[in-house]
Amino acid sequence: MQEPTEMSTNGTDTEHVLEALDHAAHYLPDQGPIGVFIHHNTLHAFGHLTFHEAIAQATALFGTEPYLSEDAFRHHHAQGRITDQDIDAAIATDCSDDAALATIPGRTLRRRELRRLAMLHAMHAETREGLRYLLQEASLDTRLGNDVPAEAAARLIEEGMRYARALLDRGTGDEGVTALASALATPGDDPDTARARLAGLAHARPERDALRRAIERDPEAFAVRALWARCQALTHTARDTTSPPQRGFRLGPDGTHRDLLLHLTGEDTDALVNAEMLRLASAYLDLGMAYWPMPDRELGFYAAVRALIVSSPRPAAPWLRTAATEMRDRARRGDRAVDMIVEAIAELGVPDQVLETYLIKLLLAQPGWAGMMSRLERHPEDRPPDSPPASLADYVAVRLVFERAAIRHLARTVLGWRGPLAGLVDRFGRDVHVQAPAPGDHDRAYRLFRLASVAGLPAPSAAELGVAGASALLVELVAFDELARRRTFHEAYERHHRHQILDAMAVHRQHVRAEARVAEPRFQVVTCIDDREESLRRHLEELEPRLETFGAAGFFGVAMDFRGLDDAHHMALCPVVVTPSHEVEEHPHEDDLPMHQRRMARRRLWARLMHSLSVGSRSLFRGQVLTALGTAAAIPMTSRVLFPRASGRLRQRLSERLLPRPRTRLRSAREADAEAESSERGKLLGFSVTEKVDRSMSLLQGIGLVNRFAPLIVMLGHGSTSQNNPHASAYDCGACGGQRGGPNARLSAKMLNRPEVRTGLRARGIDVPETTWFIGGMHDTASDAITLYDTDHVPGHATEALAELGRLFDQARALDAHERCRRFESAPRNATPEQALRHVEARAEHLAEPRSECGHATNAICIVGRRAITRGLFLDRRAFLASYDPMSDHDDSILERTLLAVGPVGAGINLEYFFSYVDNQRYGCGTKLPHNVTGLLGVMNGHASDLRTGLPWQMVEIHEPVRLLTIVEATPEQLLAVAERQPVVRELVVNRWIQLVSVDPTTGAMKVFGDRGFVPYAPDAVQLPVVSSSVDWYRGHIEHLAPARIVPREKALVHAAR
Amino acid sequence: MLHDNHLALVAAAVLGLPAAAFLGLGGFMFLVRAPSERFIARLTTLVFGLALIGSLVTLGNVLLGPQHLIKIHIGRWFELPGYAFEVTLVIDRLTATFMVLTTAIIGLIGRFSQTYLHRERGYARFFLLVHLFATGMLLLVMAGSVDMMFAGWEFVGLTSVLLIGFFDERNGPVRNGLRAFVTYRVCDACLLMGVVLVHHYAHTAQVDLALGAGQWPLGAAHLGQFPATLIAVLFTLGAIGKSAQFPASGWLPRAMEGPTPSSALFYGALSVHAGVYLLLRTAPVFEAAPVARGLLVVVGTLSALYATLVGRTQTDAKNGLAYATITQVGLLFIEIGLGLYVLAVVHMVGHVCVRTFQYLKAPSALHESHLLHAAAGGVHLTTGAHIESILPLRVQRWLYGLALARFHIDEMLDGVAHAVLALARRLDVLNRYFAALYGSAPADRASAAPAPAPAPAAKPFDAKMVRSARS
Repeated sequence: MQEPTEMSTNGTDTEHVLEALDHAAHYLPDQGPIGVFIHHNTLHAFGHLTFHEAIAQATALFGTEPYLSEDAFRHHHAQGRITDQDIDAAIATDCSDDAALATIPGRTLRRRELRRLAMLHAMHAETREGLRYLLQEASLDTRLGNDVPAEAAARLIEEGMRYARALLDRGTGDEGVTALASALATPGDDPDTARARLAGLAHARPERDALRRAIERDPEAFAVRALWARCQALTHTARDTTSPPQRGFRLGPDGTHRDLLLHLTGEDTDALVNAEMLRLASAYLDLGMAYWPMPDRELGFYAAVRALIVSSPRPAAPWLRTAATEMRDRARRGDRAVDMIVEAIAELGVPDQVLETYLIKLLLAQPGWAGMMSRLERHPEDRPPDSPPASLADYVAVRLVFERAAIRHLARTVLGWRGPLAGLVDRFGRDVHVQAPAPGDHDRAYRLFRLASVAGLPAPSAAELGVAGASALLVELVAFDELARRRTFHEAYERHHRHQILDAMAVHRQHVRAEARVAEPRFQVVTCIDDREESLRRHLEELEPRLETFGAAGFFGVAMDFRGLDDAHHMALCPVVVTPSHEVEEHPHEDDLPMHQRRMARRRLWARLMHSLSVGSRSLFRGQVLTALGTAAAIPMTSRVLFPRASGRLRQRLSERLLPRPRTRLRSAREADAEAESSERGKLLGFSVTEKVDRSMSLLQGIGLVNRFAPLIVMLGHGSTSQNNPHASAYDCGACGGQRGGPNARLSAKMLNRPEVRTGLRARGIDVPETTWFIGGMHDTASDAITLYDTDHVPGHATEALAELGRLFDQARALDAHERCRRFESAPRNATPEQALRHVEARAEHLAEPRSECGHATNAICIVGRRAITRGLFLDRRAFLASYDPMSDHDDSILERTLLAVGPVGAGINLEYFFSYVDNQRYGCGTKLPHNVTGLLGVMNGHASDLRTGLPWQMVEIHEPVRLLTIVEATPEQLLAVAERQPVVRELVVNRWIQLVSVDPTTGAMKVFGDRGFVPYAPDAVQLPVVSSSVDWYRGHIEHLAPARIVPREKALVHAAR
Repeated sequence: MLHDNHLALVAAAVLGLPAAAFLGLGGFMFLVRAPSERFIARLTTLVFGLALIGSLVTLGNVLLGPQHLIKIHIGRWFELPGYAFEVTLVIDRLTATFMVLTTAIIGLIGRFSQTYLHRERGYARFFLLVHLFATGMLLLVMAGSVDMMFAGWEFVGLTSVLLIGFFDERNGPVRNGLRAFVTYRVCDACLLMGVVLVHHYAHTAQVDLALGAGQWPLGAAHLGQFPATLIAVLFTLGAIGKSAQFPASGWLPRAMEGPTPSSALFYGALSVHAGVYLLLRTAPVFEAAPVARGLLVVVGTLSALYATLVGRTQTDAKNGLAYATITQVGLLFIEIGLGLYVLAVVHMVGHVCVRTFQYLKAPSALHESHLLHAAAGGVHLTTGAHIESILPLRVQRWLYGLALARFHIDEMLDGVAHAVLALARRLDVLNRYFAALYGSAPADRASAAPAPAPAPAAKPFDAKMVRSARS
């Protein structure tokens, strides 16, 4: 332990501390204010490691769950979700050397078999107390567990019985009884105890005849007891005499001062410090919840807190008083946050080499708030421009003030320590014994016994293992620890799903022509790649064979800062990695200007009224008047709770009546390139013709829609409606930065309709016929409403087609609602599509509905390729479908662009769901029910808790945690080339954060990327079910469904659905 | 118009329905298993639907009928020489109003919770407690004697505590539930003393006999000024606890740990107004006790000022609502203290409706704020800013710090509690010393020896355990 350095701050100390802090900040959650929810890999800090390595490290650092639990996996095995082949394959991949571990006559136990047994049968470490319980209450030593396979059990009992009899028949007189008694004895028993134990087991006097009868009567008890005695004897003698090394407490790796004190005193300084920190941090970062904001926020967190403490009355809690005194001193000196940290670190005696670890553990005491502070420091654009400055150093400085005060207080009052804090670890840390957990004798015996029983090794065979054999098995068992078992299980779990999908795709491909497009399409619909649009596309195609669908990233290639008619500010509608350079606004039509003005005025009035009511009812005098008249609130409350759908429609109607919406236009045209107008915000106003042509070109090329245009083409963005849902943004379009994608679709269609854009496209080789018209639209993934924009512009010749399309959409969205309802336990069974539609509309309007929709909960697959290879394949809303035509991509530039857009967004969503599901309490934010919106930044649990990040349980509960199975129509060489050029893609692929599969565009041959690069995949010849419609396949099922081929009968599909 | 006997039957059924549902559901859960969600949901809807109809019928009859007070004899529990415990219910305008309010709000929130708690572990437990709460609340409201009122009061407190600790896998809810429990215990002790004194001075616990039989609130208590004052002060102390008034307010914001609808039901709607009901019911006693009325006004004023200041600094939806509730309940105390009973009832019913709705919509805070901000044209909406305009900057800062720290009230109460505990511990030591001195049983002596403190170093340091304690 190094001596506390002199209390002075010099440049290198400061730099050193800031650098360590910078590194530590990586491990904090990176979630911004919750109004805009961006899905990202929860373990982004570990992205440079391979998936499994990252999980191992994160598990060690955060104390989180790595994968599903072993019990859950075993349950999946019992259900057939994981098969024996999956497990064998996963073991084989992981363990190339199937060495023989122990050989006895007639039996060789190999490493792979041992691993399989350890996975399929609970063989975890057992505590001494647990073992005592098992022996006394669960008859561990006389009865076989019910997970022992029947065959093994029969062998165990048969041979155990023979063994017992043979011992009993040995010699003359009492000799046999003694031999049997000693064979069944626990090590250390004297002969009398052994005989007594035998008598107890037999429920008879220890005499030869009585014992022989007892063995006949209950052979299992003797056989099992003999095995248990053997295992005890083997492990007893195999005792590892070197006791595990013990050492004192080390700051950093073993924790902070708080951990030492918690261990020594049972009291937690975090209980004190966290409450203060959360009160101050939320008051400081609050974006407008509090009526009375914190003063002096412009000074920064540290200075504001210091000023607050200085001007406040003396705190009542004794531990806080030293903090207040210190702050007063510091206020006089006017020090900086970083000075404070340097001094505090010195005072606490944290050695230089563990500084970063110490800081990480300090920050992880309240990762939510620390993470928010750090995130806002790095991303000022997450908040309005006039927000107070955020700084993690400030946060740590304040934390250290309270942390030291609490440590000092606890050390003095409980441990009686009045010396310098740096001496605390020296004085008390030695007496703490930190030791690596090593299995004791009892545990070794237990595990060996469990192994022998499930492997069907009877007592005599166990004896033949010898000490060395037993030891070898145990070493292997311990080495194949829980993390390794769960990792292997996880691989098996993923493998099953992967094979199911790849096999289905292989079979499906035999029935379709990959290069086939719909001949003479009547409609084309371009949706987001979102997994939730898979069903809508499928239903549309089932309803109208001459309808063709495409999937494009939901911002449709137009990255923009958009301000809608009703929006206060511009919002970036594009993937988060892009910063838009264009600005687009929605403006009222000139003729409707008066209407617009009236509307604005009324909205302002309404806002003021609602605001005064909301604030007034919470205040004192106004509150008295308002609440006295408050009985009126019973009307909206009752109607919204009892009749959600009807009251939602009523509100809609009222708002249409009182606030009629003018016709609007997007202002997006910029006439000449040279006269680029800039907005006040320094962005380009609208797109120039060249830019429009560029964007249209890249969108059409990207999805492979360069010829065979239908007369009517719809660009369909998406968003989601829900009530009482702080996480609402997490349901919106990920490719639009957690916003609704309608405006992008609308703008994209508008661009494509411009004659000058068409001319430009023609010049570049894409000939969109005069008769083709594009329409933008929006799909509400919760209420399944579909809105089309600017339909008044549709040329006369297309109006009939438009009406037809409207009818198709109405049928398709009802069927989509119908398919979605199968996953809701609370939805009516056997509903018609129309009833299902009403049900999902009610869900979207229901105040009490925590599951307005399932979000991305079922995501598992991402297919980049032509629709022909998936059209007619039931993918159960589990697949991101990005359209990509490898045949028209000559230099892989489209592939590169597509993977760059789809990979990070898809993997971000997939991994966020993965981790939020696997450890919902720590990676996710737990159940929604006690959530409490705080500071307009996020949610906490109930009265006071850390800011909760990640996804709530209600969002993920039906998720299957598998890495995104990304299937791309490109050769391995092309994929590797793209990965080589794009570090983002490389990290995902090479570190295996996604499962990448290459499908050869011409032959359809598949190769799976693994440890040894791309390995050919030979599909199993499976029978892919064939049904005539999606409804026929999913009707009556609530669980995940396997793929099926949908081959429509000629007509009357919709009627079949009813 | 129903005959009195029939009305009595209807009113008794309103109380009996949730009680029967609680017993039936509880018995089934205890003996068999938790029934399906669907069954519980239907049962709850049925029970509160019928109870609401019964309550409305009762209210209609009481308002229109000739009699201002109907007494229902259920039976006699036990009899001693000179005393008999009569189980009675009393129906008058106040009671009937509260019956309607109680059944309507619980029914509504029950309906809300059926969707909100879908698939939650503890679904059945939640509704079991809601039925027990309804029983307690209705018993409190309809009780014909102060003893029974106390029994209902205790059920309300118990269910409140159990629902604060609903998420019992985390520390916070359990700790905060305990805090509410302790606050209740202390204040309920005062109420219990008051109840005993009613027996002592009025020789009966029957509401109509002891507290006045006139048309509510005009009845006159059959008590002298001193007993009336003593009893009224004790009732006030009891009401302070349940209604989270100064200085026992700290538990209410901490009670926001349960699922959102239980916060709405207990702390927006009914439980927090139970103290107000107690004061209204016993208004005749307060009429005879000007000192106690003065105390009500003082407590109400302090609570309202304290809560409105603290509430202004709260940065989250539910804590903000908790302090807003305390503010208005403080005003209700003042109104009752000033004798404005009808205003208090109207104010209270309105407050229940507004606050319950606000609690139910608490998770929308973010959405609503964005919506209003946009509708206002992107400007930051402010109202009032009265404190800022009146007080000098220094005082503002001082006050802000005080308000953000919630006036340190909880810490001070903790200090008092620790002092009491320390005193109790010393008295205990003294007691043992004397007991040992005068030779008590050896067993006692053994336990009198101070237990050796467990050696802290004996247990191995487990990094994993420590970390999980953090979360």
